[in-house]
Amino acid sequence: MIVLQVDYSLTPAGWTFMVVSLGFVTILLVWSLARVLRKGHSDKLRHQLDEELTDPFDS
Amino acid sequence: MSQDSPLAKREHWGTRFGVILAVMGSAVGLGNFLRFPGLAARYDGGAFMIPYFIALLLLGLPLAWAEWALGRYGGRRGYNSSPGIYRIILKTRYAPYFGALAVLIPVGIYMYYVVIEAWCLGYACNIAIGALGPNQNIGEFFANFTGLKQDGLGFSGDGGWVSFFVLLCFALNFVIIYRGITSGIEWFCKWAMPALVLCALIVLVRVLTLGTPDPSHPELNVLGGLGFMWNPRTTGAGFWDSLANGKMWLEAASQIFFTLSVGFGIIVNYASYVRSDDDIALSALTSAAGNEFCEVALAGLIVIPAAFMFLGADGVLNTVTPPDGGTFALGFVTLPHVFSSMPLGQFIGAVFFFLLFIAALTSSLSMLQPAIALLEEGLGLTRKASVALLGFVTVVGAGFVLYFSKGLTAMDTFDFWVGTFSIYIVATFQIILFGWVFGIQRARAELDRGAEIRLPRLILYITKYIAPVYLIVVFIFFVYQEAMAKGTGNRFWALVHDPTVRLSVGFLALVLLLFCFITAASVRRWRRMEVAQPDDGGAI
Repeated sequence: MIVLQVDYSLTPAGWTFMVVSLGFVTILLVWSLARVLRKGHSDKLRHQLDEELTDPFDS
Repeated sequence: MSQDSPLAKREHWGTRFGVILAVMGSAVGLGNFLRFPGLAARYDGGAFMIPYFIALLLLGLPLAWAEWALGRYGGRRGYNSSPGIYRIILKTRYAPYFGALAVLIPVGIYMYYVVIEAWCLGYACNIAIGALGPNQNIGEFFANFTGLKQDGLGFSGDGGWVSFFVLLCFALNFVIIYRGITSGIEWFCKWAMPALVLCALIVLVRVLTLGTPDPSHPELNVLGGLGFMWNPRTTGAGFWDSLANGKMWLEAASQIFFTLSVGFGIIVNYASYVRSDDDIALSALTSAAGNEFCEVALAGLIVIPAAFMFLGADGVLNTVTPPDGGTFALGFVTLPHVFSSMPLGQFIGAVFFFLLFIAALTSSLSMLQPAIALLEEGLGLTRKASVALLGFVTVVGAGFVLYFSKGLTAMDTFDFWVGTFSIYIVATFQIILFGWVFGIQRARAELDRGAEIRLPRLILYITKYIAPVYLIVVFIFFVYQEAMAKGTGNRFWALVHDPTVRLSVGFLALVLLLFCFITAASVRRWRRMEVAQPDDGGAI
């Protein structure tokens, strides 16, 4: 494979790709974990959802 | 409820966090820390992330949600194994046999994965005691340790204790799996996953503080390493040319597919132990997010930047580009060399390979449970008997892989036919089963049941229409690519001409036959139980 670029220092585009990629997965994980750990709120929501969504396929 | 009914002896995860960590542990493996960085480096770093994240959203997450939903649905009806779960959703006599293939996949992968796990442990120990350091020929060590040049080397004294490490890994896996879902897998993953992240953070801090390790090459520094990994244009191709590379899209889709462990028959099994009103939508998302964090945020900052600082761009590209390079070359030849060259390298190298060992162990554990579930609920065996029977089958399989080590042919064949080809088949079957047989309405009801987040309806349409097409196109390209490969690189050609490949495929066919027999016996048993107790397992 021919490698043209000699200086590999992070370019603005490289910074952007790195920050967006790392930021996306980190925020997704933190948000998901926070939702998992917010038990009080989630129990309430779950109760609401269960009332709304009885599974018609469960018999 | 009858004592014989699968419903009568159901196991559950102890905590919700436990199941999330267990699924995360199953997904985080060597692919995260070795395959992903290698692919990203090969395909222009940043540019690779575009098809990667598109595949995550259109293929990975929908498949993960589908597997979690199918698993919990089956679990609520008393089934934990893929044959049982497929059977209650698709009411044809052939459906359970797709389940047999879904049991073969994790067991077949386990047979060679446990050997690689043993390499990781062996490398960690050898680096820790200084037996694999700056003065050693690492390529030769790898060849001897893995038996690369000669069949049966792993069973001789020249194999560098690899058999001992394989036995140790086997014992660890089976002791943990014998303890059961809560006391074994969940307990282990609760400490192993934080330990894995801690090890990764230690290595990450070391790599990011290396500065310029060799002052005579000032261009080989941390920012250069990060640039090589993340700049959208590092090789000859321009950014848009890179994006037009179909092979990159194919590789990105398969990386997402394999890193999330979808189509392995594992998530279906794990999700079947979730309680009927526990959330699965958020749990699936959290597990996937944890896996992506380990892959992108940890491995993406460690492996390639470290290799770049000591080998330069050409060295890294040679290491990650087939036919001479690849995952094993990067992980077991290049990285030990890199660690041996850096300050504190002995400690960091040992920590890194211990990290790989933990990642492999949490994955290999998950590969045993689907078969245990089938043996328990299908044949009515006790856990002890199931573990013993599976232990025998997997010892024979791992012994086979360990013996036929020349050129790593047996391992490569197992990886191709079970760890890749069969996975595409099962994943395609599952996504069609979910979107078209289970149906969108029932899928929505199942995903919303007990859910703490409401998934957009769009996801279900993606699951029904886009994900299957995406998967089938990737599969067709994959088969085409393999069929067009030249000479010994062509797996179909090798199947006809290479005796070790034929023997390996024959062995796998025998194991599949065994699981088909077990499935047939299980179906007969379930039918008898349904006739006797129509309200139990037959509550379809």
